[in-house]
Amino acid sequence: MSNINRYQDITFLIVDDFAEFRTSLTNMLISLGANQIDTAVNAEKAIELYQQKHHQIILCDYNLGEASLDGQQLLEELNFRETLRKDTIFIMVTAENSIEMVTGAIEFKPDNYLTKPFTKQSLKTRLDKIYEKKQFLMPVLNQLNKQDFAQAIAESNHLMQTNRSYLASCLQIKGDCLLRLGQFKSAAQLYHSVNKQRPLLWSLIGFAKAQMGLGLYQQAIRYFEKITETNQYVVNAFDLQAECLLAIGETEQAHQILEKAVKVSSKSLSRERQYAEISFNTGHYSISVQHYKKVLQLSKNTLNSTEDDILKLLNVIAISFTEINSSQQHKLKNEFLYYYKQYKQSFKHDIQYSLALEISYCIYLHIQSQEDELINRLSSISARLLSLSECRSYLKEQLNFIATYFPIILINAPTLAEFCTKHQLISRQTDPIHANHLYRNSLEYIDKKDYLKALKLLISASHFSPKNMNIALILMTTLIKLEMQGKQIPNAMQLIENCVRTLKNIDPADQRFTLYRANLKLIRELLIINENREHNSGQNNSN
Amino acid sequence: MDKTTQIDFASVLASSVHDMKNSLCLLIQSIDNLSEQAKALNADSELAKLHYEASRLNTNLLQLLSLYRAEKDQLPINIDEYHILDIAEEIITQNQLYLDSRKIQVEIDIEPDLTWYLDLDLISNLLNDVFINAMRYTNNKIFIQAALNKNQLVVTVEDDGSGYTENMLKQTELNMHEINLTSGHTGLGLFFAKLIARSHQNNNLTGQVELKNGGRLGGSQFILTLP
Repeated sequence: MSNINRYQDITFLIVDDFAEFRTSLTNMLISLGANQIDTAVNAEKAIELYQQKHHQIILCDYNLGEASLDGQQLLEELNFRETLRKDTIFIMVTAENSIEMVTGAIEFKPDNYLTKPFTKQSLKTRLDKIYEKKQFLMPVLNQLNKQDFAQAIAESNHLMQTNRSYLASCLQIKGDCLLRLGQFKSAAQLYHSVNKQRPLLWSLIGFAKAQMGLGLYQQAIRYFEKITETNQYVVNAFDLQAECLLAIGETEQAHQILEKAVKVSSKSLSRERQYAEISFNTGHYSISVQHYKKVLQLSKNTLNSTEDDILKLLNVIAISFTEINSSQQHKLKNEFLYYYKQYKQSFKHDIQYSLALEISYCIYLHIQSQEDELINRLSSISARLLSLSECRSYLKEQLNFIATYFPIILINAPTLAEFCTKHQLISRQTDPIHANHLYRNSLEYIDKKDYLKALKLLISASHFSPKNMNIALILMTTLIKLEMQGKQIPNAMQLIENCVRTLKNIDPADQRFTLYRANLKLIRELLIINENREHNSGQNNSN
Repeated sequence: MDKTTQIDFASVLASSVHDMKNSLCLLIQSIDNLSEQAKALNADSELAKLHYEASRLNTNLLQLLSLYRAEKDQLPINIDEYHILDIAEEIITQNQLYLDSRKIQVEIDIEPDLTWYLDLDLISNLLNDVFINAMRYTNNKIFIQAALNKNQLVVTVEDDGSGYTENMLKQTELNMHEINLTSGHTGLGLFFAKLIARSHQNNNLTGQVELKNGGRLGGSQFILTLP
């Protein structure tokens, strides 16, 4: 197609909160030959329009006003919902792009940044270049649309052989696919070869992520430090560095790093949640309260589940009573009762969640020294707990919390204490360094395809570091692989449930999310297989 | 100032600069549209001047913001690989109106597949400033060349004007803190160029800026070297 009428049949979506810019940009596009142009005033409207039409080119302003998500968040949201087609051209319009380029998820970058001011001619030059690049990459993008990452790698290899001009883009896509497939060794090799020539932001982060996957956290930390030394706005590097520090048991340092990260950008739900949790674990209770509130605020109008966050917020408010003066206590008391009553009302039909909320209330009663009411509550909770056939994970976590932080409460409630012992809800001794040692050994067995030996090590590793996402992810993957082969692993479903618990809040921008989600799909298949098996054996028995 | 009235000046500056850039963006686009209609009325040279001044305002604003961030150690550097020809062509496209109106010829000598590692925002802005300067002082020719030399990128912008003044040439010899920043834009522009060049580092080498007279067209010669 000639350049002149290239844009005639292309659908455009302009996203800008300024009417003047929408008009100006629309006129520019019309003069370039475009005639299918939609406009949106905010992110919400843009998502709605894109879901209907899947426009081929999106021109989106970074700033969309106070009430809307910003351009980067819109791009991420479209990715999370898996509605953004990989062949759609997404151009971010910015006033300056140096900071905007790096504060969002590195995995979800727009195809290009158009810096204001620009003219019709410079817009056309830019559009032509990106259009040609996307056309060249089309075979790879088609595979990415199908989420066939192995085939996408094959197509990238083919393109790299035929034409060197988009070599960097092909390498970047290939590295990303390798991380998504959990092939950390190959990914590390690829990124290392790029870094040897010239260390770039994407190849440095990619290399560090591959090191994380291999359990080499110290090495990964060195790379993240290298990145943030030259650019303190690469907030994703701080997040990952904190995860590495946690994985080697350096909780206080992880807290300090995340503190820097939330200062640069406080728009990420997973970052706020992580910071709130670490603040709690390191005894920074008032910071923790503040950031759990932010989590609840950020997850409004999203599909994110906040059941755990609500309980944690209540617990941390209750715990922070112990360290503040009486005037602040009054304020906190009101705050606690406000949240407690509000959620008690919203979840009144959910027996297990109501119980979980009441456990937080017991902590409150204990701290307020309202002993009589506490004892009444506890016996009522115990009675209701005993009538449950199974216990949901957040409820277990609540009991675990009491057993760890307020064992004295359990002394006055022997039935409850017995329940906790019976369900092994006693705090475990963690040892992240040993866990990581076991994890690295397990990877060697996986390389040799000795999955049973790997599994043994991974189960112990997860026991010593239950919150480590890499361990949970590889444990889950190995378990599923063995189950799929028809091996009967004792407690497999319980183990998988624990992994899901560790991984459920993983940032969708993280490549590991892909493997996690693929695993979830396989679990559903497994459950169906098992059901059929039971069904068949049932039939055989009756025969 | 007590704590409650203290402001984060970097963010305030950034947000006002962003807002001013919005105005400038619309201004430049309006001028562009008008100039198409104005050709018949012979008013396009006036509009070209407007366009030129608006571009200069934009460059100044970005430099101010970058310098402030650098002073506060908050200047972010994003090095990635870019096609150098794209950058040069974009600068020419942005200034096309003024070039046409003053009938300035621009010649480019850059291989299409030449790529190098740099911060696109900062380097584009630096080169745009140099180019605007060349447009102002040239008779009618500008020459842009880029190539690799000893594994470093060397970009040269030359014109056929009367060259840099003695004073300007002397200033390039100075250390950054000795440059006179109160003598109008020349000092600030040079300071900015040096700062941006210096922030590009690789293999223990640092980016350099050099000003000369003579060269291929006999006028001023701006040389940027990036490791």
